[in-house]
Amino acid sequence: MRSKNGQEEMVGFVLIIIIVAVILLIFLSISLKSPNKGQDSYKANSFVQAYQQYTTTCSIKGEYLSIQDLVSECIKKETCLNSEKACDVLDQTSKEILEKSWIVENGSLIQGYSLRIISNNEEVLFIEKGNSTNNYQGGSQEYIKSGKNIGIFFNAYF
Amino acid sequence: MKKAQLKIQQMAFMLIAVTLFFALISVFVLGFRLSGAKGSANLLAEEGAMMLATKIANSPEFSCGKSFGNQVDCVDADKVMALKKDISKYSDFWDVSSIEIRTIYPEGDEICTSENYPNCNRILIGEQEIAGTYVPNFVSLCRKESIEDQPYNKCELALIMVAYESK
Repeated sequence: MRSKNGQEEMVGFVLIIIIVAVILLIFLSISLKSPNKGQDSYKANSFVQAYQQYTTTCSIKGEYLSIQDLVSECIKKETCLNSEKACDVLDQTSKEILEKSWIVENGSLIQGYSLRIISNNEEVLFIEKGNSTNNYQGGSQEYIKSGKNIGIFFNAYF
Repeated sequence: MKKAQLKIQQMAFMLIAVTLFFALISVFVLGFRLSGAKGSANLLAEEGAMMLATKIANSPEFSCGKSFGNQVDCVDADKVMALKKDISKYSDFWDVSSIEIRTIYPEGDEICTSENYPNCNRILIGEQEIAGTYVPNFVSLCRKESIEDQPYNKCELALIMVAYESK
């Protein structure tokens, strides 16, 4: 009789351990699986601000254009005074700025980045490098120029 | 020993075992939670340092104001070079040990002086290299240039680095 009682208690104890272990596993899997949602980052937003103010080598009507102005000229398929296409200058300058600003290499904190410029839901420019992960920080800027809604969206992946 | 005493002893051992088991689980969960809190605290400290850099960049002594069209995170390079000459008057003004503004596109390592400006890349405020704890943040470094006697705004991509004493 005593032995049977002891067995019942042992089974009870094992049950408690199993229940707690299952709860712990569920908690752990939820904590680990939930992706780190992308969030607006101070640094990424500052980058977008500084990026769009950069003065490019493209001159139209006698003045050098900022990235912000160059986007509008690219949408209009304009050509710079030095015969380069506005879109080509935008693409080249953006790539070079990103290369210098966000170093993506083996062992670096940044796994990759993406830059997307959209005008009235149409893609004007898309540049990406490295891996896109669930852990990212983003920055964006939206404005209206020449009657068009323009959005600059940048994500840095970690 | 009587049967009842044995039962009480058994119950006591059981209670101790269950309490220890839950205590261990609590320590594990708490450790897990605290590691996340530590990461969040580090992120907040980093954002705070970046905000300090941006606050300095947007202060009247540094910012472009309306000279380059209402831009934010924009540093007036001409203004900073003028400030550099009189920096001794501002020694305790910002409560930071040193400030450096370095252009990253175009890239270079030339330190700015009144002789080589604007053909340089690094403006040191306080005549010393950046040292100690610092977090860089992006700014636009703008100045007035001219082509065929026509002035235009020239803005470059730069990092502002504000070093402060670790507490």
